[in-house]
Amino acid sequence: MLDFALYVATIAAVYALFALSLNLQAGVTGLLNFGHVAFFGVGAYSSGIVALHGGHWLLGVLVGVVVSSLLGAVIGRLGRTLAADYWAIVTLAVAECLRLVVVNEGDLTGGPQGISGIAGPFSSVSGLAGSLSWLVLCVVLAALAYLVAETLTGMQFGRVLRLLREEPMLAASLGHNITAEKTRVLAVAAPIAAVGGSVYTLYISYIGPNQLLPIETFLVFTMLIIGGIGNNRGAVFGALVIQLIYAGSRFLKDIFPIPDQSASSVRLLIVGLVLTAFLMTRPEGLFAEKLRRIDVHQ
Amino acid sequence: MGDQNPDHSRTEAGRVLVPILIDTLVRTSQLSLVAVGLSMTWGIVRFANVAHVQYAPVGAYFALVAASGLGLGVVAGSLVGIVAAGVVGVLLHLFFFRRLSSFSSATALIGSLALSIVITASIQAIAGPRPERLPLPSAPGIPIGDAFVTRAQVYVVVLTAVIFVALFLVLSFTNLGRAIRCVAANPDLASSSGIDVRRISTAVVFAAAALAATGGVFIAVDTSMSLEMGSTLLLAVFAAVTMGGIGSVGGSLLAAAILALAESTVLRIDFGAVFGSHPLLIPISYRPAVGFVAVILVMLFRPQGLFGLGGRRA
Amino acid sequence: MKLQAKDLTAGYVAGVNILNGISFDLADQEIMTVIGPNGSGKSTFLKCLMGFVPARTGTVTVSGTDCTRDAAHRRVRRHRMAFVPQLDNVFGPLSIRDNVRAGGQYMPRRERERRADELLGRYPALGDRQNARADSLSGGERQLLAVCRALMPRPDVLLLDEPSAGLSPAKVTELFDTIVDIRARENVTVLCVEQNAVQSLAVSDRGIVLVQGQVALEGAAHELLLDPQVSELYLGGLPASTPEVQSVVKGVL
Repeated sequence: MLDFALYVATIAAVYALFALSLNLQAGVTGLLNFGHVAFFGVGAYSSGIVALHGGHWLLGVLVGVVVSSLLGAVIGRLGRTLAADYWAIVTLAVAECLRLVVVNEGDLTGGPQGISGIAGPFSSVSGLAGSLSWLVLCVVLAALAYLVAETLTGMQFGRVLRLLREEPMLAASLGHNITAEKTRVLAVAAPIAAVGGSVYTLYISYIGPNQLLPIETFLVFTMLIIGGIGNNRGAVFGALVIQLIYAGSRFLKDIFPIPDQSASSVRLLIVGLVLTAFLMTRPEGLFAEKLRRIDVHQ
Repeated sequence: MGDQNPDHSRTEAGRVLVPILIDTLVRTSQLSLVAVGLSMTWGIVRFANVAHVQYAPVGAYFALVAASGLGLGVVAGSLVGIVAAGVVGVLLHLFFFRRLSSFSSATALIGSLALSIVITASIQAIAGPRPERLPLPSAPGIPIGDAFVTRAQVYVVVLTAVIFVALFLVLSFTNLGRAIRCVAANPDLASSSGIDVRRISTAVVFAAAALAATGGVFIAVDTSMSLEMGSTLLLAVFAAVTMGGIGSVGGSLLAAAILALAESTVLRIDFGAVFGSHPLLIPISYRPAVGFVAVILVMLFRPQGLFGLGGRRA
Repeated sequence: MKLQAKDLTAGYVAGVNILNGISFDLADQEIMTVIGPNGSGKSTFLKCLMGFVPARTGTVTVSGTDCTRDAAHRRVRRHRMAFVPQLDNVFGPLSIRDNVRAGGQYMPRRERERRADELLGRYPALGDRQNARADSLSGGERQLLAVCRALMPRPDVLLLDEPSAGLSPAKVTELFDTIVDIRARENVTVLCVEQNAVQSLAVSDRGIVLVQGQVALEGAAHELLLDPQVSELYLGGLPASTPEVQSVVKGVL
């Protein structure tokens, strides 16, 4: 039971990394990245592939950070000419391309079976000490990401990003290069998710293409909406809530006779309905973003 | 090729071309039916409704329930399924999307993502993860040259053609059709012209969901239905809609045909022969990539559509 | 009275009124110009009269019947109002003829076609290429098409939102001539919001000056043209005595 609790807490901390990363894009800047899972995937597979070739785990993390940052910058550049909903679809297509490559290039990625037996930093530490080390590492990383995100949103940069989201025309007329700002925010946000992907992979010592499904992106959006989109504290809180719902649904099947094969769908259904309910009744989330209103209408 | 006699090379061409043609026609039917509804509603709801493709599996599974569960048979069951999917589309429009759109189009966009997941999860929870088939009697294929076409495929292509002709006639020559085109092009101006935008929108949403459901039923008739049906259609359908120009019925059909042709030829082209090296075929598992890549390219370079038929800003 | 508003208030954000109690009335077949500085609520005023922005208090009456609670499409069909917005005022992908037909959506088919023939025949710029897409037209032609669409069902009241915006000086003159001609042919009452105050007032019977969502001044159009305060503030700073305004005023008187 304690092991399970530690597991839940560790995964929640990893999800906090994804949520903080997406919040910088979707929440603060208003870039609806429907392919967010691609950044996670780049980190995860960098770690996996480096491990497969006997490299040190730190190298894997590093590769993930660099590659994801580049990918982020490229996707950000694409935002130059695209309307918001078009950009969302394009990011989804990019992530799906990545997944397709992962499934098909078995020599590199292990194909549909994925890569297993990946050695992480605490592989030699067993039992409770190992679990605790992981938890501490992940919480520290999440805390660092939180600090980075808070600093970024608090700075002048953050104000520019919010202006970009609310009044793109005004931002441009004030001399901000919209494309450059978008590119920059994605180049910064992507590595945060990639580190999450790396740590996740090293922690459970496995990565497979099913972890790159669009559903993962949807989960992170749910975290943001529940917590309050645009708010870093909300993102962390949302990650915790979703992880608790996921963990709790394991016990659900002890109470209700749900066949094993539909357990995962019931879990998704619950999360989907929670998100739907929030969107319908409280779209600003539990912790609404505090905005100093800038009225520039009419 | 010079050393082959002409007769031989003709059958050789037929062996390659006929299956491509059949494949393209069937795939065009399925894609265009789902795409045309999205194209028609996009101008009205003003956000990219990711959940639209989910009306395909919804319609197919409703059809399955009506055909087998209620014992209506495939034809009547499919009709019931299609109408039911249309009703679901209208209810979601009235009670879900209209509310979310009133907050912001971003909220509606995220909401449509949420709805897709809820629909997929519901189907999985109720029907299970295995693909299902409509209770059709197995009929022998009709030989065309060396290839075979199934009776179901013939019906699918012919019915799609009938549907598109009907759609074209209604939109071009009737009062209702003109009202629909007005609302899709500019809802505010439409109500300044005395058109009841809400009523027309509801009618269009019904038609769009029902057409997507028809596409879903046609996929199920041709092969099988599965819960991934919607998500595998998603990007190809968006590619077709943007390529065709938002709001353009003919454009969606034409774009769907181009995509379908690309899907069925790209995988059969020996790129090795083109570059004069070893045989180099793109593996069949990359088929979905055609839609993925197409959507990226089109949105980047021709967001106003390939043919200039649509009515939307870039 | 053809068109009448009483104590109209409206706005977008809760607690903030853009219109602060506007009252006015417009006699049958009058042309009235509404002028005012940017942000005075001119556009909102038209949108509120048309039902796109709901009135918070007050009433709008057309030909003696109250339409304050009716949606825009009902004001067109039931109260015989017509509206030409400033931007996006044609259905771009539709043909020119279909744009005109769209205005008469609820007329019997034969009457609709006859009326479309009449309007398209009157304006050859449109009639000569009635099967071309509307977004292939120039700015002035679009404005004309938008007016034709609005005139289809023979409205009693025509609301125009800055019809001269973006047109060249020659086209502006042509447009205002067209508006006068339309009033004579169609017996329609016209309310026109304009930046181009001199030329608009020159063809109007009366004018209103809106300031901060209220009627600051109201009077005969030629009086407003000569009012030094008005000319300074809203006619681009041209003193009333300049030859430009004088010539216009002479034309009116």
